[in-house]
This record gives sequence, C-alpha cells and structure tokens, in this order.
Amino acid sequence: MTFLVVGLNHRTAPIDVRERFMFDHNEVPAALARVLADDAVREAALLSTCNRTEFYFHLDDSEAGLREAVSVFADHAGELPQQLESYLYVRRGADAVRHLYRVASGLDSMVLGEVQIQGQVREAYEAARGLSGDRRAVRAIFNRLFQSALSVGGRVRTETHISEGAASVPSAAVDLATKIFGSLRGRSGMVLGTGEMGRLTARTLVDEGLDHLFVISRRRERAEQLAADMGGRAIPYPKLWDRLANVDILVTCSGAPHAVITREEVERATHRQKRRPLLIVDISVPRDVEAAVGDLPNVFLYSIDDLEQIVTANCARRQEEVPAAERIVDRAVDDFWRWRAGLRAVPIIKELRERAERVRQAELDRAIAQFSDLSPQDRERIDRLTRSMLHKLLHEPTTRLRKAAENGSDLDILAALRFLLGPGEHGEE
Amino acid sequence: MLTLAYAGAAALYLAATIRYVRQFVRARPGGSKVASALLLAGVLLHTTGALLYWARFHELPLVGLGPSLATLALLIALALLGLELFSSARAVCLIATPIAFIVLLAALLTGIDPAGSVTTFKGPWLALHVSLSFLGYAGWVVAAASGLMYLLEFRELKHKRLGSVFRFFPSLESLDQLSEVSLAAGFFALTLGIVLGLAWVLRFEPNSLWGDLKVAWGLVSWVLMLAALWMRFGGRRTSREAAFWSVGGFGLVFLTYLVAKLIAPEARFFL
Repeated sequence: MTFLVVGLNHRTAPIDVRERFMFDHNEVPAALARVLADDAVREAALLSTCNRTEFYFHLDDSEAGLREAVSVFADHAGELPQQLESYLYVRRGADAVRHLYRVASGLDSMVLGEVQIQGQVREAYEAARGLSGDRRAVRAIFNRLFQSALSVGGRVRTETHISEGAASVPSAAVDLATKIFGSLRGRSGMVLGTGEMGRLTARTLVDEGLDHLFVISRRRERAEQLAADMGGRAIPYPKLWDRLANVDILVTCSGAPHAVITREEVERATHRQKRRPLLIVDISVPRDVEAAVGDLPNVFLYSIDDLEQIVTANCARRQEEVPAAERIVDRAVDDFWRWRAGLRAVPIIKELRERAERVRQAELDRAIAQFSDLSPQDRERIDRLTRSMLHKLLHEPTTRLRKAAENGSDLDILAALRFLLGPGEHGEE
Repeated sequence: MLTLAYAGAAALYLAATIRYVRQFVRARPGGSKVASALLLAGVLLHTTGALLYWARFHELPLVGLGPSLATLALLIALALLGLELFSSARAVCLIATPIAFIVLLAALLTGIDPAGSVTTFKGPWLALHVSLSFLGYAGWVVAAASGLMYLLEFRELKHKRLGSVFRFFPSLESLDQLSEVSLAAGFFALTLGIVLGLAWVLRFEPNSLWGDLKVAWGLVSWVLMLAALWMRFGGRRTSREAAFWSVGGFGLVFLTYLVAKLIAPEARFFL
C-alpha cells in the first residue's frame, strides 16, 4: 500500500499545455470514477488549478495508478500517453505526502506562499469526498492526509511570514491603498487608460472593496468596455480634472508618449480637498505622471518601478521563510508516516479485542445461566462490570501496540502477538 | 504589598513593551496575544494597587507626585487596553505602553504615599477634578502616540521606504481617526476637569488662583490642546499637520511642566 502523485505544474508545462490538462469542477467526478474503477486504487483525489493538475492516489500498486492517471490525462488533453512524459512528474510514498503538504503550504506555487492554493486543495478534497457511486474516493487514510495537509498549510502561513507582503504589482498597489486609507469601502478610484496592468490593478482594487470606479480613456468605447467589466463608470476624457478632485486612488496606464498628469493640474484639482490623501499608481511606461506630482503634500506617487521594488523585496523576504516552512512540512510528514505505521497494529488489536469480547460474553452467559434468580438490573451490572474490566485490561497493551507499530522498529512485537493469538483473521493492514 | 502591586504592574508593562518591540522588529503585523495578556495583567495588578491604596489611606491615589503619576499611568494603560480589545490601531501600544511604564516607574521611584494637604483633597468634588484632568492627559498621550506613528508612517510612504513601520503600523486613516477621537475626548475631559478645579479653587481658596503654578500649567495645557484641536477641525489642514500639532502640543505641555518644576521645585504642584 502506498501513495502516488502524478501531475504537471507551472514548472513542467507551459500555459498552453496546462490549459488543456485543466479539469472543470463538473469533470472531476467522472475522472475520479474512472481511476477508481481499477481495483488497485483505494482512494483518489484530483487537484486542478490554472497552475497544476495532479492526481493523488492511495493504492496497492503504484504502476496501476500511474497507468490510469496517464490514460485519463491523455484522453482529457487529446494527446497520446507517450506524448505526456515530458510534462508529468511522479512522486511516491513519503515524497507524495510531502508534495501535497508543500502544495497546500504554497511552497510549490508559482507565487511562493500564495494563499489561494489552500482553498483549492480543500475543494479537491471536498470534491473527492462528495463522490457518489459504488466506490468511495476518500476513506480514513485520505481523510487524515488531506486534513493534515490543510492543517500544515495553515501552520506554515501563521508560523512563518511566507504569505506576507504583496507578491504582484496589483496586490502591491492594493497594499499601499489599504495602508493609506484602511478599508477601501466607501473609497473611489479612477483608471486612466485601458492597459492590461491597469485593468488587473483596477480589478484587484475592486475585489478588495473599492466602491466607485471611474474609467477614462481617449478611446471612449474601450473605457466603456472596461467600466462595464469592472462594474464602474466611464467618463469623458475632458472631465478628468473635475473627477480627480473627488477620487482617492488614481491608476494610470495610458501608454501616452509623455506625461499627461502634471503637477499644476493635480495641485489645482486637489486644492479643494486638501485634507484628503491621493494615491497615484503610475504603471505606464513611459510614465504618465510628472515626478514633481509626488512632491505635493498629500499625494503619494508610485511608479511601476517602485511597485516592482516592493514586490521584489517581499518575494526575497518570503524566500527567507522557506527553510522554516520546510521544517514544518518535514515534521508533519514524519507525524503522518508514524500515524500510518500505527495502523498496522489495527487489525491485530481488533482481533485481540474481538477474542477477548467473545470470551467475556461466553463466560458471562455461563455465569448468568447458573444464577437464574438474577434480576435484569443485576445482569446489567455484571455485564457492565466485566466490560469495564476488559477495557481496563486491554487499554495499556493496545496503546503500547499502537506505539510499537508507529515506531516501526518494534514490529517484532506485532509478529509475536500474532503468533500468540494463533491463526485468525488479522491481516497486514 | 501596595508597592509590590505597583511594581508588579510596572514589570508587566515593561514585559508587554518588550513583546511589542519584538513584534515590531520582526515586522509582524496584527496583535500579539502575549502582549495583550501582559497588558491586561498589568492593568489588573495596577487596579489592585489602587484599591490597596484606597484601603490603606482611605482616599484615591490622586494626591502627591507618586500617587498622581501612578493614576495617570493606570489611565494610559486602560486606554491602551481599550485599543487592544476594540481597535485595529493596537500598534499604538508600541509607543504608549513604554510611556505608561515610565510614568509608573517614576511614581515608584518618587514613592507612592499621599502628600500635600490631604484633608482639603478629600471628597468627590476634587477627586473628579483630578480624575478628569488625568483622563484628559491620558487622551492626549494616546493622541500624541498615534500622531507620532502617523508622521512616521507618512514619511515612510512618501519616501517609498517600506520597512517595519509599513508592515507593523495600522493604516494612516486608522491612526488619524484614533488621534482625532482621543484628542477630542481628552479635551472634553480636561475642560471639565479644569472647570471643576476652578470652581473648587474659587469656593475654597479664591486667593490662590493666580499664584498657583498648577493652575497656570493647566491653562497652558488647555490652550495647547485647543490649538491642536483647531488644527484638526478648523480650517483646511492636512491630517499630517494635525498629527504634527498633536505631537508638538503634547511635547510643549511636557516641556512646560519640566520648566515649571525647575523654576519652582518647592511649589505645591500636583505632579
């Protein structure tokens, strides 16, 4: 019995390949049902995001799982199985467990320490757990594996700084905005231009709670399109300065060959709102905003270079946290492995308890038969008494057996107990 | 026992300060449960000290330098505890907890025993005057601490050097609001305290009104606090200017106090 991961991610496959391998939510049950049809596969889950698609297996024969996964991937992507080799990676045993823990912790993500992956792992686990049909995709082992993976992800994020600080230009802009204004609820922003980075930044600001978004572009129809996408409002270019007096955040990405936002105009526009800070995020190259605008008392001006410096510094800080995060993962893998080893004692413990219970029941029946005048209450008392004695007698040996199995080195004890119990139904697992 | 309770509270404030500083140096945003617990324990022990004082001397610890400072420190710590529990601007504790510690330490070094004309200080009238005045100063400590943090963070954001201050401090907006609320509340309390004090002086010691340094200092404090409020609410000032005035005004009050103590160390001065 072992674990297996088969998949591809942003390191092994380019975006166009990853797109073909991506599974929609409603495609996951069919894919899982297909791999579970193989008797060698005991449990399975499928994690599919824009950066990775991976099958997780708990199975008897890892080759069977690999074969099934490749077959499902090939059919889904419309490629021959042999064409997939260069994209796929395979992890087995403890490496597979470690891989899942690293994925859930964001250690294997394109953006180190990203938080969304934890939710995606949870969704994959829930989807597998919710699979209906003849065979269940998640049983005791996967329940423990995925719950521990989510717990490890949480610990890595709370005990290290790996998820702190913006790791992209749009999120750096949001960080700045929230540091100046607190919540973005009730705030208004304006996007000048319709460039891709400006669009992303505006989207991130809106997602963060920005209440009002105005879009200005010399091309009216593009402004209207972007405003419609973001739930904002397009306004004519000549209204730029009037509107600037009432916004808190200005994102510029016009792509104009010269600065279109001058110090004089900003000073004039913001004169009436002197108390209100203004954050200007200029992500255009060449810059849209005169550098002198940043000298105005209540204006915070950040260019694309400034934001990239913030992102670089944050990423370096996240990188410094990797050793601490890996230590948490390693400890968790050891814990899981020990727990799993402890399961080897389960069948023999079960057998031991069942035998003891059979003996107790038989002796109890015989004794009660000899005392025919016992009331039902007395019988109940004797039953409870013997049950309690049995429980107390077996508690310590059971605990020690489980520990012995967890340690692995004491498997002789299990073998000895098997010998003492004689032939029975107890198997290996 | 009494001194032990106050000393224990001071030790807990110091421990909380160390936790806040450690959190700041490690640039960990958000609160620290350990620091909050230490601050809470400090406030509880401090309150116990005040109750023991009451039990021993049958009056509130408001008379004499030591008791007054101890009460001022308690009010500052209570305000900080409120911030810890109910505000996102709990990082203000980084600056204000050491102030509570230093004030309490000064009280301990001075000796926490009643001094001055105890009999005249008895009764709710004057106790209310002193308590409200201290509440006013405690409000100003919080306003000055948050104002100082505002200025530091503003500077970091303006110069694009985003270090520990950026990561640890709350938003400019939170600091501005906190400074505004605590200054306004402090002014209200100080005004009431001064009015009660003037009424008491006019009633019991009308001749001492103009020769008393304490009265002069109280009025200087009130005028400076009013100026800080005016910079915040009157005219079209930026939040940065308002923060500067909160900090500068408080600095001036402190300076005035030091000058008064140097000029007339023997004067009957409540602090």
